[in-house]
Amino acid sequence: MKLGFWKILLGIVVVFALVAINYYNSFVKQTNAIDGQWKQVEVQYQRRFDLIPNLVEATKGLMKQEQQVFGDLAAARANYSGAKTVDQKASAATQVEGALGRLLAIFENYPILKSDQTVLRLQDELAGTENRVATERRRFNELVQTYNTSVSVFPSNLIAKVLGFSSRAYFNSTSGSENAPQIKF
Amino acid sequence: MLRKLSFSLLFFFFPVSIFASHIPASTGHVNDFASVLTADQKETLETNLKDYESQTSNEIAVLIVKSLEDQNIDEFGIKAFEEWQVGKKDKDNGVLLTIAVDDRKMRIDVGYGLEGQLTDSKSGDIIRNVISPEFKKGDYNTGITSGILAIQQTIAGTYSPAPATSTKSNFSDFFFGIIILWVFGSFVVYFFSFLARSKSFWAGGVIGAIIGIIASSIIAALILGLLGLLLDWLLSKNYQKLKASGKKTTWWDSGGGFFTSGGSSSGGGFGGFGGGSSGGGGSSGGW
Repeated sequence: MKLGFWKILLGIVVVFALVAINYYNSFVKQTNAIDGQWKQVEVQYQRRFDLIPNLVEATKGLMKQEQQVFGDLAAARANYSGAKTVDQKASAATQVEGALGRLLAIFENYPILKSDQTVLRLQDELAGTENRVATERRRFNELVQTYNTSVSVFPSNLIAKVLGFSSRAYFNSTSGSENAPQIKF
Repeated sequence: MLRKLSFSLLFFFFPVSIFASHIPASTGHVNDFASVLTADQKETLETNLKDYESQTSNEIAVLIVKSLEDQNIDEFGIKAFEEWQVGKKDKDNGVLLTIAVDDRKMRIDVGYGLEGQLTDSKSGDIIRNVISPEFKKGDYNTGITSGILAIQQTIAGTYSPAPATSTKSNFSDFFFGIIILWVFGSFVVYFFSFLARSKSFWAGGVIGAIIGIIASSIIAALILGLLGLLLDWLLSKNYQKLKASGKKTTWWDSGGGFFTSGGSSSGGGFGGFGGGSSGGGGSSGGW
């Protein structure tokens, strides 16, 4: 009779331990996926970063008076390459987006650019990159949402607290970049 | 009665996710939901794309919808690509041409594996210089057909395996799968006989629960635990019955446990795409 009681208690403890391990592994997997996905977002930032010089080269000659805008873009790029932490990179990327958007807005005033094949192709590349950035950000937010849900619902929220897992921040577009740079005419 | 009960528990516990999506299911390589192509034109194009797939393993899909319903063509295209998973899973060699007739917008989405050949600017060129002029004339068939041809030529068969090696690799994959299945099957038979020979039926329940926990789901643990209990109980009962009536209890003679043989339905029609993914590359345009 006494032996039976201890066996049952042991069984319960083992089950709880297994359940806790299960949750822990799930949280770890999800946070790793989120970090990995953020790297994907940064990859696309880098891709856009690398494309900009080509665009500048192709259009500078045709838009000689627009020194201010080209200057802003160059400064934003320099800022991005200097950014180290995730937060710095995110805000630097936003700055690049803003400057790029202003440059592309000015394209409207130069009809000659509409028939320049080089410029059109570069715009394709930039538009593709913007789409890639948007896609990776969306996937990032989807992963964060799933993870945040799993650490918030009952009963996993209790276990999450004990194990030290909390909600992660979504990627929010900061003010000024809600309108993605309009690439196409 | 126990069997009926466990079936109803099955439905209660299993989470059923219902996707609400604006993307219609694919019916083939060519999906014309706006009826701009005739049946003949669709068939010709479908055959073209099927042959292209068997020769190069690249999957090209066409989606024609009447309206985007206020969605952005870029978002719509990538969503459709992600849902249909165009392209082979290990190669990501898919291309999706999306056309929204009323909105006069189109998009080419390119899988990761083809981004090197079918770059964003080349997609843009195809849209601007090949497809758009035809669409402006109202000739959808010529536009789509010449667009597909241009895409195929741009990609130019980098993934085209020589016929001999491709069949060989398919066969060896298949053979390997059969061996794995056979090994697994033998293990399962041995395992079932172990469960049957023990009169008690808690072993099945415990093992079911452990598998469920390893599979990272409390729900799975619960349901597999219950199923395990049920399975072991039925197997034990069957074993007792056979033993009592003096019949043989080996696997073959007992009719393979308690399984009843059922017919398998053969699948006709389109089996879907290969599980490929895209990062959002490609280009959009209009006419």
